[in-house]
Amino acid sequence: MNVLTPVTIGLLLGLGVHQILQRDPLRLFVGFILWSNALNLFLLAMGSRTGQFAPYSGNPAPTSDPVPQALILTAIVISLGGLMFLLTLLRRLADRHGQGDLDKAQDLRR
Amino acid sequence: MGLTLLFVPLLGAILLSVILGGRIRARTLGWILAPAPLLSVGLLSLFPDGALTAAVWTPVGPPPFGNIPFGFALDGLSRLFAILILGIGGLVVFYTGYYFDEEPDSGRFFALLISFMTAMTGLVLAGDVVSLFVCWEATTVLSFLLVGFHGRNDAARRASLRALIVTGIGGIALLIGLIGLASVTGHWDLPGLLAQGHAIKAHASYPILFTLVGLGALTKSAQIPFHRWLPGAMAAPTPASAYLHSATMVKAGVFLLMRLHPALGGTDLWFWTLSGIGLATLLGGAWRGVGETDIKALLAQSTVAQLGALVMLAGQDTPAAFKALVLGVTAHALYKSSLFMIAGVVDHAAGTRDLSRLGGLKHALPGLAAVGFLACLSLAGFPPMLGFLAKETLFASVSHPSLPRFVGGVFPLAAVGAGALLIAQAGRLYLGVFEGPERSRAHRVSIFFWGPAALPTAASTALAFFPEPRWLADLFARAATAALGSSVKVSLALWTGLTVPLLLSFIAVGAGLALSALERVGLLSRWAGRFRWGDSVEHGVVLLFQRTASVATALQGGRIRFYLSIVFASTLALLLLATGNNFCQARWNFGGQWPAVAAMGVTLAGAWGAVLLRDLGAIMSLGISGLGVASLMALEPAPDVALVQILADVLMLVLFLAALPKLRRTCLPVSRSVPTLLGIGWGLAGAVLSAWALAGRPRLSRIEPFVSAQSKMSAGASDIVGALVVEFRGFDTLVEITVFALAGLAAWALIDKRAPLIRQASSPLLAAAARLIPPLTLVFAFVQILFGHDRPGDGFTAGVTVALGLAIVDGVHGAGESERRFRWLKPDRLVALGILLVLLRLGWPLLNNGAPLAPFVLWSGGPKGLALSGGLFFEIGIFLSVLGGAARMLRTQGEP
Repeated sequence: MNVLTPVTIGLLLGLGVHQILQRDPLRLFVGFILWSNALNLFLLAMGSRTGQFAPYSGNPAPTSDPVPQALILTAIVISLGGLMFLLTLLRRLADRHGQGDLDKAQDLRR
Repeated sequence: MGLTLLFVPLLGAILLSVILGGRIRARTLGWILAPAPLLSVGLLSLFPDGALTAAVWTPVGPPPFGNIPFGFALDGLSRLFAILILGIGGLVVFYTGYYFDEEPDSGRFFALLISFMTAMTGLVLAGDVVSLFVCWEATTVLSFLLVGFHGRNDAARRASLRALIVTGIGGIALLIGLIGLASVTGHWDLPGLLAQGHAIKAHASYPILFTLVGLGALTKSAQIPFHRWLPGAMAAPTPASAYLHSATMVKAGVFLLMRLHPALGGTDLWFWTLSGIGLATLLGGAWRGVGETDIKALLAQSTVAQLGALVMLAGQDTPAAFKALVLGVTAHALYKSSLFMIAGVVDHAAGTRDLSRLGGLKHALPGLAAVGFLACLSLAGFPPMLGFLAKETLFASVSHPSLPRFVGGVFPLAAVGAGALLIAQAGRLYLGVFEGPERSRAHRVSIFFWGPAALPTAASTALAFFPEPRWLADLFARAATAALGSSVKVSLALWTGLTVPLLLSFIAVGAGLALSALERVGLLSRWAGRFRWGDSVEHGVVLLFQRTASVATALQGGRIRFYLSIVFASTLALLLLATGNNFCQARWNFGGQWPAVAAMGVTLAGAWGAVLLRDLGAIMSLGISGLGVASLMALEPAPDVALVQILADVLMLVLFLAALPKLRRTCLPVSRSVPTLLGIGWGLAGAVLSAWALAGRPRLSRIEPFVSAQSKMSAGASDIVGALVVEFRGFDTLVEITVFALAGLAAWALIDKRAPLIRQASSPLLAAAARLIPPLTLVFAFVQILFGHDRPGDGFTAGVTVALGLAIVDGVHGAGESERRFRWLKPDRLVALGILLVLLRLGWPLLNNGAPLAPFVLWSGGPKGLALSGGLFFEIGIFLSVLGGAARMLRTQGEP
């Protein structure tokens, strides 16, 4: 069991929380990227076994577990869609109100 | 086809009401639609008891998941209910035509009403747990729409929402209970499940299962303390009340108790819970009803009372009780639907439903008065109406010698009291509306309008003219037998000699007349109106909601970072509750040389991205971190995922670079205290918990052997991850590409489109690249799609690859250039086409009687690895929609 895997996941999660809680809206974007990487790594590590070959039928055992890989595939696409939408929201914010500040979000209603 | 045939006329009627609604008069539409349910009743007689129509849905996985059945089954109980639902349904549809003649939106009402009828029929005919629950929830949602039909009316909206919340919570409890029952018995089909009653009752979780199912039944049937939604639901249009609150919706709870009695009934818990709650509801409804002045409110309270009586009877396990139960269900459905329809006619003719402003209508509406008189007789339980027989059997059941000693005294007393109150209600209703001085003017109404109200009442007088009809007794007996699980005999003689029940009846009548006399001087309704017991529980719930709301508004003042901090902190606290100590069982190491390098690269680049204050540097650094993640994936080895990760990472970078100049940013100062604290907490918790989770490896996977074995065999794919994405989890993938494409389309919709695009001058070298690269990406994409089944790469990577080629064109020549240069590039159409293709691929196997999503191969004669299969269509669909979505994202961020 690789010690570095949980350490990497933990560090990315912690950095992500730190970034999401900043006033600067762009830091939300940074935090989301960090989180999505951390959680994908976690899913990858949760496979039922470590392999030496890719999960293709015909490859000799031990192959890696394909199930978490398929889940990650979906997760990457969805988070990319979400990130791009977030980026567009940031642009919209810049178009309408200039520099955004999450502490002044309630002022934007007016 | 089988029992599904019954639904054909109903579905046809829904379709007709949607097509014809608003085009022809409502009364004409009523004439057209009313025969449909009656046709279904006729079709019902084609099928014998025990008929089964089952479809087995696709296996969802290896044995623990098994097959999901979906089908219908007919027995005595469902036959009786189906006849009531469809028979009264036909009358109500006809009545609706005249009631809503002026309503412009009557087509929608017809469609909702008949949809509700369909759901209700499906519910009583359900042959398995899945269809039972699906139909149950459909009735909840449709009744919400029917009660709130006049959505502009505030009271109607609130009443329908309340009904939805109460019955919806019950529905969730029922769902959990049904899944529990199915997993305890191992049967999803109802006949199999009901046969396992002894196993369920012996199981340790029986009390929980009973409570969950009971919650579902009691909320639906408006039992104390959930009874308040029913009087509120009188804000519904009267035809809906006449249907939902007499024969169908509210009876669904009683039906559920009868249906599941063989599985859950016959225990002390069953007896005491249902008898107690039913009795309280009976007395409460009877008492409150006397105090109402609105006719519909009075009828609602009497319905609550009657439902209480039915639940109480369901709680007893004697043949006598179940005989009373089926008679009570039928009698109540007949007279109550009739009375509600009368209330609607009175409302139309006299312009009010208020008892204090009505009176003497028998002069203007003699026919209606006669029907009202007979229906009230049945409500009061006088001979020769069916209501009399129902009340006699109820009295016989509550005075049954087999009852426990304590309740042997309480039950008859309470039943007689409630009977007297119901007589007072009936008297108040008839005398208040039709007798006495003429207090309101009423115009005449068409016989077709009040005719439907007369028919159920006429049916309940049938016993006077056809003493003891064999077939009817048989119908009741078979229904009661199916519910009880052992034989029940039913005789329909009105006169059985001087018996205890008759004696109780006399006492009830005497008391009822005394109460009516009290009412003549106006005392009873005043007391009943002042003291409304049984409502306090709901007041408590409302108070709780108000307190919660005030706390919530105090917490949510609009500070986003405060919310986020709370969310992160409380999730962290929850995470810390998870404990485990198997760290030591695992042998920890530093892995190989390359994974260690990659992991450190991911961490360092990620940290650098977080620390760097320059936006460009931060995002570039994160891009490197993402590539590190991709190399960790490649080392797993997971080549498919690594490829997708690389392409997604590059696309993210490209889009960000395109957007950055337009964000017009200056960085804000870094906040330190709370973010740092929570960040450290999350970092530690994340590391410790993932270490704990990982230490359990290697585990056995239940799914992995199945997909590994099946991917080549049934899906024809060597790439197991690809087979998972487009075959085993195809539905997820459909949703996934829809989300991605919609993100692209929505982003485009969100921004301001500005000045016309300017063609940039560029170096010849770059221009040549922009000319060469897009065709190359197309070739690349083509290969990926064709061989995606056996090699890394799929529709998503193909779509992103082509989009990146287009990005080069836009980058060199200016935003929008790619769309001008390539005529076929219409992102919105590509998205629509792609999703449509995937939907067609999902539905295709249905044509060959397969399950949706089943793998299929049309042609496989080509070179190795090449086949015209379902997977290929899926990949093409993914490619098109991802290309469309990504092209929209590029254009959005490139827009000046």
